[in-house]
Amino acid sequence: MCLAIPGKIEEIDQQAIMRTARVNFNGMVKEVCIEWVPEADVGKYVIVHAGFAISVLDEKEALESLDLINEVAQSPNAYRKW
Amino acid sequence: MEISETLKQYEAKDLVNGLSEKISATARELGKIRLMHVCGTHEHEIIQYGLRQLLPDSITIIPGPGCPVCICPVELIDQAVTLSYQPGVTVLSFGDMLRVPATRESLDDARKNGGSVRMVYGPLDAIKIAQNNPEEKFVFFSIGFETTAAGTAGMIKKGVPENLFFLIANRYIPPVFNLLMQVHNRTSIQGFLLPGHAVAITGVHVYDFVEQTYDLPCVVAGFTPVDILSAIWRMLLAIQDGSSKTINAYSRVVQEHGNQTALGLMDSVFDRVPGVWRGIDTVEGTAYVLKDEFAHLDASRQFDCQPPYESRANPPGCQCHRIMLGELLPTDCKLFREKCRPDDPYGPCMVSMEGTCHSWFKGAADILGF
Ligand code: SF4
Repeated sequence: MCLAIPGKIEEIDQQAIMRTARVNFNGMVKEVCIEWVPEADVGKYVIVHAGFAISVLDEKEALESLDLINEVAQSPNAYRKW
Repeated sequence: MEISETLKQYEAKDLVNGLSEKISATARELGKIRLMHVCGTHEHEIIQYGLRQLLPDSITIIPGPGCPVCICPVELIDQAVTLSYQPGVTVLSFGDMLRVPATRESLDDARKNGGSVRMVYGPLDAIKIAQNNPEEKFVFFSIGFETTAAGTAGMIKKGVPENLFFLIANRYIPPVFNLLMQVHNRTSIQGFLLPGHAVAITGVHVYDFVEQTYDLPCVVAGFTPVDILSAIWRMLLAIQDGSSKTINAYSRVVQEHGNQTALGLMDSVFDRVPGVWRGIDTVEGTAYVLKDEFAHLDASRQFDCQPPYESRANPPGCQCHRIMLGELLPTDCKLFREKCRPDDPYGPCMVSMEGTCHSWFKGAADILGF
């Protein structure tokens, strides 16, 4: 399954052969390999698949897309925004 | 707004309802629209959140070949089963994979009948098990699309214990659209929803050929209800405009050029060759195979894993292959709910949460109470 929710990096393990991190998914903490997302850092959110982080959440995009969706969904006049 | 609040909003009910109204209003001007997704998680979420019921009757969402254990070729499962009976060899794979019916036995059956099989949560687990048991040999049965292929590739590149081998059944999604367009045309499908996390690996542009060859729009979709509906909304706008451009409606996760680190690793570990999609067909350029320099890790080259019988893709009567092509629905299969149920799956699409028949069974069970 593809996990819809991103997890927040709490701590990075520098000792491990592969770069791993403790990642918090709404309260559930898991060990995740962050080797393929070099820009990952403590406090950032990652998308994880089968134990590997595949992408770091772009927080600016998350906010901007949501603003657009809000406008489309909530105002009758914002007929098209994209 | 705190980022955690922003993320919660992607599941917000008022946004879901607002989008649903907008979609209905736009759809009124468009006539019948049939869209296909190619992702088992999309189907699962669509059923779970009742999203089809939030769409107008004129919009049909067709589930496609997006369930990794369903499309895993039976020949390879049979090989994994055969390997599990070799003395000193243990096959490791994901829990779902173990239950998938194959020609004679599933991996789970093999385990009960004396084969050596263990469930793992991912490739990292496989490494740990191999390290902890140096005198035994292990074969990681690697299945799944780009997302899991990336993990396996990276691990191989980093170096794995000498007693760990790989049976690679990973598949690359984009070329399967060529197969889908052999059975569909622009009348039966007006656009494709793309699987967000697979595209997070490959990037958006590997799908541009769908516009160029078939003149159909693709929209990259995330997995929350708001994501899926906003992807459908973007698709309707594209159709309205007569545009077939590939659109990224999941830009908080998917970068235009994908995950370059993962792509680089995959390129250095795998070649891509024609690959079987279970029961459906062989599709050019979809099977990941280990490059020759990793032949020493390749279970198919290091062990004799040919089963002493001929493989057969579909159990008689099972319609999985046609369901995955979008030609039939689970309810068209005579065995659905009767002979085939999640607790005793007869065909591959009833095993995993990503299988269309499994999702439909669970969804219908909720509504009809069986
Ligand atoms: S209900 Fe079972 S037998 Fe029928 S198509 Fe689905 S998986 Fe195959």
